[in-house]
Order: sequence, then C-alpha cells, then structure tokens
Amino acid sequence: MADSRSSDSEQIVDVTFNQQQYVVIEKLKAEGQFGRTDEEIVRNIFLEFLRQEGI
Amino acid sequence: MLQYGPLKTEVVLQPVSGKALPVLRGEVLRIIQEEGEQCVDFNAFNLHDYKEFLGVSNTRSRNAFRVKKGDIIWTVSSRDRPMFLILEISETCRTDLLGGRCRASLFDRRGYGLHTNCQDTLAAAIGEYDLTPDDVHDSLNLWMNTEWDSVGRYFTLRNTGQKGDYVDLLATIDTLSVPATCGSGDVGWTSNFSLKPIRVQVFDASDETLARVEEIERHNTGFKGQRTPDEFKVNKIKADRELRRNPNYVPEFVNYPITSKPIQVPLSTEELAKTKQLVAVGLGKDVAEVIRIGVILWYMRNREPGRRFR
Repeated sequence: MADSRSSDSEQIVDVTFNQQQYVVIEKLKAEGQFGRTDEEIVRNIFLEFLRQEGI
Repeated sequence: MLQYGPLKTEVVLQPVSGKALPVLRGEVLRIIQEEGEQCVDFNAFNLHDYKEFLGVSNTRSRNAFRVKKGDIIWTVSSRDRPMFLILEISETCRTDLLGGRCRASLFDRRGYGLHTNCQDTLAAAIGEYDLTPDDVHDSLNLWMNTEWDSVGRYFTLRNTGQKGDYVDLLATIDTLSVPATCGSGDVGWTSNFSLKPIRVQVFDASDETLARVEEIERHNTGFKGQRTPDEFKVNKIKADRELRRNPNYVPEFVNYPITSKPIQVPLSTEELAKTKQLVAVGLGKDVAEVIRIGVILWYMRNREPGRRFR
C-alpha cells in the first residue's frame, strides 16, 4: 500500500466522482485496506496506480 | 469431449433452405458440412418468448468479431443471458458476427433479379412457428470467411469449410434454432460459387451436458440487467404496427440524474508533478481527471471480478 501521507507543500485537488464511480470508493472503503475516508481512498488508490504504472 | 444424449432429430437442409428446430436446454445442435464450402446462417429464439433471441452484437462485444470453441452465444441485451455454448467447432469453420444476413435487394442491384438470400430463407423457415419476416434477426454466420481492413472495409474470402466439418452448440435455454444454407454463395466466395446442402442433428441432453449448462448458469446469470419481461416498465408486446405517443408515459432512466461528489485529494509537489506527466501524455485533460481515471483504471485492473483487462 502506498504511503498515505503527503509532504509539507501539499496541494489539494478537487476530484469529482459521479454516483456510479463512487460505488468503487465505497467498495474500497469497506475493504479497509486503503483508508477509511473518501480522501484517503482516492489518494492511496491513485498512488498505487502511479506505482503500478512505474511513475 | 462431453458425452451427449442419443440422437433425437436429423435433417438434411437442401441448398437455399432452412429449418426451425426446437433445441432444448442441455441438448446439442450439431451443424455438419455435407459436402463442404457452404456458408450457414443461424438464427435462434427463446422457445417460450420469441422477443428474446440470439444477440449478435451482444455476442460480438462479449467475445470478438468471431466466436470460437468455448465461447458463449448470448441473447439480446434486453435479456442478456447465455443461449448456447460452442462445445466443438472445426478449425476450418470461420465464424462471422459482422455480416448480418444477405437479402434479395443486394442481388437485384447486382443484376441477378430475385435471388436466394438468407433473409427470405430464414423468414420461410420461421413461418412454421408464426413468426414474420420482421422477426428474422442478424445471423451468427458459420463457415463465412470474412475479413476487414484497418479502415473497416469488409469483404469475403474463399470458404474454407471441409466435408464433415461440424459445429456443436449446447443450448443453455430452450430454443427454437434456425440454421439455413446461405443463398448468396453461388455468386460469390461466401460458398465458393455453388450452393450445397448441410446436415443438422439434435442430441438429447445428458447428465454431462446438463452439468455444463448449470456451470454456465452459475457463472453467468444473476447479474443486474438480466431482466425478464416482468421487470420491464413497458412489457406488453404491441399488437398493431402504427406507433403512437403515450402522453402519460414517464421514462425511468437508470441512475438518473447523474450527480457528482467532490473529493479533496492532497498531493505533494512530487506527486503532483507525476500526475502532470500523465496529463502531458494525454491520460486526462487535467490533474483532477487523471486522478479520477487512475482510480477507476486501478479498480478495473485489480478488483473487477472476471475482467479481462486490455
């Protein structure tokens, strides 16, 4: 799992998910592996995505 | 190879003819090249509800432009159920899900006058069950050697079917199955410029075929959208031909209206820079879109059940 902390100079990005996409976040929240809040889930999953992409 | 039940029905379809045959759940329909090089057009309907029929585009989108051994043939998207499993198929049987079916006007335009064609052949066959020419649907084409190029042009090559080739279709619901010998093949490569007969057999269900059906049902039914007419908002079949607006009708679109929820995502400078790299290569038009796409792509790759991710 990726590090859920951001660094000192963090910036906030507003990301919108529609109710159908939000189903994914709810499922991942229920899993508990990637965090408990929407913000944690989206951030950690995205960092996992970057890692898998080799970026 | 599965053990089928005993042979129940056998017919030889002479050139430019077809036959509507009940093939019940667990039974196997075998279509055989009697002489070889003959294209076969295939239609099928739910025996108990003709509005559910073989869905060519549904089958294409779930498999490929061609189907092969082990692929499921699906009903139309409104029902979306497995209809057949391709149990066996000869290597020289090229299948086609793009061509639809030939019809008389194609040949009249080419100067042949009223020429045999699958629309009319299939219509004549299904008339035995009081179905009309409008009920003929796009065909699953067997032994139809078609190709397409990078700009979508579509053409037919020499038929590769050999004498004795066969296709075995395991019915996963009760069907009215309608094989027809394609009538276009005497004026093209579809059947190498001659029209030949095909042989059709139906084998009874066996414990093994029924077990395979149950396995298919376990893995491919029970999903949202696999509806029955009882679940349709409008479920009466129109009995007349004229279309009239129902002024009292209010549509119920799925998940309508679409709403959005904003989520504030903190990123470090380094993380933001990586995200911008993905914007630069076109994954999304801005950072927020890249994050949304990244999350859904990650889910597709890592959590979607049974997904064949490309």
